[in-house]
Amino acid sequence: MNTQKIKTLTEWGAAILLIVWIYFQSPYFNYYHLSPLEAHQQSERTFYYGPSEVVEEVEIGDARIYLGTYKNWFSANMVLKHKGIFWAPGSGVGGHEINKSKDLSYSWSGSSIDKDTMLMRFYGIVTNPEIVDVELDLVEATLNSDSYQKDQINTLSFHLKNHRMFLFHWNMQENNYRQVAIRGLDENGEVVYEEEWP
Amino acid sequence: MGKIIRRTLIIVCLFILIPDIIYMVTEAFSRDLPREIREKMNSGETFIIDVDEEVKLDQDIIEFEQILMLEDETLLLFEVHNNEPGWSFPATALSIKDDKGNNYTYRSGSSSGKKWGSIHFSNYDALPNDVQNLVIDFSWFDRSFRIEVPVDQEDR
Repeated sequence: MNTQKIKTLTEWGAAILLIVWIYFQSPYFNYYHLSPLEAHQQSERTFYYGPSEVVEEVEIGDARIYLGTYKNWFSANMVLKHKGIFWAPGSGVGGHEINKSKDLSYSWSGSSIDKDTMLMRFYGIVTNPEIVDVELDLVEATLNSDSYQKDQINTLSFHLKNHRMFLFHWNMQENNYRQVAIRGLDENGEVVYEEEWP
Repeated sequence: MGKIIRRTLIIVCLFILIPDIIYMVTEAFSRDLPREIREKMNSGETFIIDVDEEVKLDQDIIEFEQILMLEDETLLLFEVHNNEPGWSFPATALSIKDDKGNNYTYRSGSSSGKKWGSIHFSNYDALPNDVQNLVIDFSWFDRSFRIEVPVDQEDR
């Protein structure tokens, strides 16, 4: 082999090595995923939680929310779209304890997902088997407990499936709501459980 | 033609890697510990307990280095070697227990990110001077571990 050939091969080798280096240290190799489920799994894995059993995947614009349970915890982990085709961990990873002595357990969190969306999620799990529907009452956040009328209450309703988890969501930038009451209703529409936050 | 392609590739790649190359060089010359912690270690008033224990937590490795016993506080030094990028280590889930039944919870802390993970410095309340045994306790959802740390008082 002459020196020219060796030089050519060395240069090609260096070029390939550099490309491989860029590829492996890139977040597109180990952080951004083409599949939202993979982003969700990585999010839980690096949080030292789960893997949770996903009971439902909810699509809200550029976000996916994974309702799931793991042992005695429930969670609604969110992953977000990145650059149109990739998915990356968002927020809400990690579970909240399921309080078996209560009819239902819930949690909420809000996060800004783009400049027009402040996504509020109110989610939970129902342990009382009698409950078939969950309702959440919302009012404008600016209204005090004694300053709103019945007709200013917006009620969101969620019909439970076999997995017993529920999720309410709204965009705080469009509707600056706060929750004032949650109810669990039985088959006949009777209130079985009610909790209020004045 | 081949010459132009491969040389362009090399130059473009090197250009993309400039931040990484700078990071690697500065990393090689930087010290891992912040100055105030190094000063405390060298002051002679700090009692340093070498922990030197490694724990596998899921896919990551947690390396406990030292516990620094100071007059008014305790410092726990450890490294987290991550297998993949993701959430930062939940340092609040680490508590220290002494042989007198006291439990010291995480008070504050700092960490610095590395290519391979992170270095953590967590603050706890001061420990009793005559402590013989310590336990580092980790409790996070269903993950937990405990490390027993004998304190050799003769080293003081």
